[in-house]
Amino acid sequence: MGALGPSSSRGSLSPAPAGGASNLADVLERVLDKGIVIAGDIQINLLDIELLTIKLRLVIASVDTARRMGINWWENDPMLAGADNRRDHPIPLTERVENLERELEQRSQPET
Amino acid sequence: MTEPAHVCYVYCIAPAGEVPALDGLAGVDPAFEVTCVTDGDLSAVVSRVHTEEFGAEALKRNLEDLDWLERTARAHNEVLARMLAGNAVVPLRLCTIFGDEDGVRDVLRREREPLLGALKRVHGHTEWSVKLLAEPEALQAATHERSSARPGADVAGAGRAYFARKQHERAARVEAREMIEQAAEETHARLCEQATAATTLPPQDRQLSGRSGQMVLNGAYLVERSRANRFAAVARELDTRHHELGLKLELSGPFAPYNFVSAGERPR
Repeated sequence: MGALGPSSSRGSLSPAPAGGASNLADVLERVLDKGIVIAGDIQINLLDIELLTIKLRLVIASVDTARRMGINWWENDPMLAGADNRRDHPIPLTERVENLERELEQRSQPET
Repeated sequence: MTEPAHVCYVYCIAPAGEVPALDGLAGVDPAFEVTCVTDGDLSAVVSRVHTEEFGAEALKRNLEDLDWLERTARAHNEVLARMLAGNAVVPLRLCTIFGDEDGVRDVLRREREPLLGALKRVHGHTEWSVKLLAEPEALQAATHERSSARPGADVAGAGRAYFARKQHERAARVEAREMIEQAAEETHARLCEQATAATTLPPQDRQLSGRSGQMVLNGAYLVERSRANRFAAVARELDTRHHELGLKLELSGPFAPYNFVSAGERPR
């Protein structure tokens, strides 16, 4: 059965639903990668943003894959659990990716 | 010299006097509302943001924070969604920030021609997304159907029967894959006919998008407002047509024309 219609639950072609209803991937692949680029006063290195997009995909892929494999150590880690902690001590993406890759590799070793 | 406490975040550009009412809409920094900065025939939709969250150093940190990024991206997109009530809007990339409103007016003046050109290209259009997803189970079923429909290998031993079957299955898989690719091409071609411009994006990562199945088409289409219903009807027809291949078509929109405002985009 096709899932046709705007991403909101409304079936009509009415104006876009509130941001929250949209798929995050749809939003990010637009606001991060598209739109006119105008150099503002605050310089963001676009290469960094492209890397960020890649890292983002990798991290989210890793997190979800890991969770499905039963790995969820970060959910009980005081540094990571809880929005407040995360805001005060955000773990850089690169570190998160490395941690998850290491864990996934260990998990994928065949059991002896 | 101390840094100013606030800077100016810009979401998009629209023709002056054609910005829809954005009453009380909060910006990416929820402490401040979205407003307009106008210079001549162009308006920029902006909001104040705190430097401690959106300054250069802070951004480097925050862009790496997934929760911050999601909140900001959604708030940014929400402003663009409201702009669809008007006739033309040119979205800017996330985090285009100026020191103050004068800086914004300067850029409206400096970039007037390209901005007017972009507005003209998208005037009266919205962007639609069509994705095609191949469900692995359905592909397998289609493969199985095809392989068992083939004339049975008239073989003597179980071993040869096994290999013959494997060969048929492999051929059926290849065939099914080719049919899916063909379906993706046909879908894009038919939708292009209904659009002023079109482009394809890389398939989305499965976990990021939360969708099952393999994304075999991620198309973005710039469609005249008056043709939106026709576009959707064609999409629905294509969805029905490709059901038996295990393909699911997803239509979403309208979006602001993110994919159609840069000078270099591929038309059709």
